[in-house]
Amino acid sequence: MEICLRDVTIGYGRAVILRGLDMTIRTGEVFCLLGPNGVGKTTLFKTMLNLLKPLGGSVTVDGRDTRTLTNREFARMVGYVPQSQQLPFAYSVLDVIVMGRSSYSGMFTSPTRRDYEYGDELLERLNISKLRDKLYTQLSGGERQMVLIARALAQEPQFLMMDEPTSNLDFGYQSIVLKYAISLAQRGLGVIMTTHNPVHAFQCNGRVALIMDDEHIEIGPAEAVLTARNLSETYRIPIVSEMVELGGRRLPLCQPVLG
Amino acid sequence: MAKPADGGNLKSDRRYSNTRGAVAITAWAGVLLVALVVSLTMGRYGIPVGTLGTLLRLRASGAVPTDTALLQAYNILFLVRIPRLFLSALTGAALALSGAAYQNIFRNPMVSPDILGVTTGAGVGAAVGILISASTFFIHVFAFGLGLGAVLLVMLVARLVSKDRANTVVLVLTGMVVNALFQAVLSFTKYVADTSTKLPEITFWLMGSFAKSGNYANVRLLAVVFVVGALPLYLLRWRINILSFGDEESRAMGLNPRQIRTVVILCSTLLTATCASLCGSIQWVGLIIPHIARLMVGANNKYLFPVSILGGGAFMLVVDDFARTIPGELPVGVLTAFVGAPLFIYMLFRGKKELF
Repeated sequence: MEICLRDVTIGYGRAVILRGLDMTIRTGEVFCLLGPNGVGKTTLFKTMLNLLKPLGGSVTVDGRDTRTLTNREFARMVGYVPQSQQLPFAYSVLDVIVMGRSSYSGMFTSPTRRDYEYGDELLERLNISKLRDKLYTQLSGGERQMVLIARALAQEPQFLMMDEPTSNLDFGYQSIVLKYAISLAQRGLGVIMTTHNPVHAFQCNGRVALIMDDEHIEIGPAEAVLTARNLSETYRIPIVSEMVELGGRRLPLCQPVLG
Repeated sequence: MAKPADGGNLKSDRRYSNTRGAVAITAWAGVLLVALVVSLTMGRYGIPVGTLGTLLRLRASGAVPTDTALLQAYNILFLVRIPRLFLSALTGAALALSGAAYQNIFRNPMVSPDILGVTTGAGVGAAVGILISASTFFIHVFAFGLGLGAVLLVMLVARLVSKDRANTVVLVLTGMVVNALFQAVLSFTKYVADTSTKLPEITFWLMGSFAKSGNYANVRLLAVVFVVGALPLYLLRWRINILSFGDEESRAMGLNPRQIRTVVILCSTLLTATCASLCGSIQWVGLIIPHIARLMVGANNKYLFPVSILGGGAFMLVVDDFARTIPGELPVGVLTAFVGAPLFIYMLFRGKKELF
């Protein structure tokens, strides 16, 4: 299955932000979206998520134009992992995860026993069963991120769209989340994530779309796209980016050079 | 796939049932029943439980008491007290349910059913009705019409302002504006009202009371409206939960948040406008009862809605018991604030963790 963008124009109302976008994301890969603040990354992300309509061109999922899909149909194909936010009401973790099942039940129904069992399965798969009966509002940022991943997976999607899944997380949770995203891709899911950290794109070892400015987007494997030159040009500061040998491992070294 | 650690059917059944929720629903059903029986005996004309039994048996057999004292009790019970109790219980239930649903769709536990102007609108309708010396029936109709009208105006303006983006903040802001506007109209009607006849009537109406509208016709009307308005809310209660994550996440989970929000607003407005037109402006119930319910059964509407309905009914009965019993008949809307405000502050102290 693939998500296809063909000559897509994105923006709000009459304000065009990016035009002529062409990309294809397939199941089984991790696809990272990078770019400076304000370049249109979020707009692109929301357009792919069918939260915004493309102003031109077409976005298709599995060959079907997203404009013709109902929210329900879309939810069964693409799951959304938002940046975690504080909630006004204290739902239990299991309830939050089971909310992801709503595209499989009728308007007037509550989740069934099977939905809850599915939620428990996901808790175990993500190794967070101990959170099951806790209140979502009392979780740490990292725990919340894991619960939101579980909720999106409860939709049984082919694609997972993660909005800066590692922002606000400590090193431990950053690596847990990234490793899980990679393992999902290996099991056949398509994972699309926005990030501000190029190292994470290297670590995911997938393809990258680097939005350099409103006319120029580089798409390809991380090592080909996230070069020192491209990154320096994108962010307008000197950046080093190369693979280094350290203790027998090849590690990405990628950071801005200050002063 | 992995099985739940405790295996076996009986145990895993328990894993998926919310005992706390089921217990709370049963307990509140009990409280409501007790409140109803106690309320039957209470009033300026007290009816002892024994007499109550006799009267109910008489009624069941279709006989009318011959004893004068008993006949007086019989008339008070069946002509005045029972319709009033049902009216107040239904009102409490309707307001608490509307409040619970509103708090969810506006993602804010501080929201009450009045936020989009329904009560102020109804107040203007009633005040105008009183001003032009309309009959009680038309006062109710005006109150209902303007209550509904205020909310529809808010929805229309909010839709025009926010275009295709559904924005609850715009809705709340528009609600504030329309509330202020209707408040001004209300002040104006009070200003021009005759101070010896009309103004007291308007003021009394605004404080809310079940004294005037406690008859069987109104009970029947409110009961029908309750079914029409509460049933969709009750059936949608699980989906309404999801709206607390906001529109984008709700859509990504396959919902149509705008559609659900419209249904919630229309149903809640129907309930609140009917209550306001029959009983005047009764505040606080819609705010605090959902809070108390949330402390008891958690945030999940599956349990929150039924507990709010039962708790709202019981609370209103008890508050109206005081209103009825205190000499001079206190307006119930005043009492709900007297009881509600301290209770709310207590809740803020106690419930921080679970509420916010």
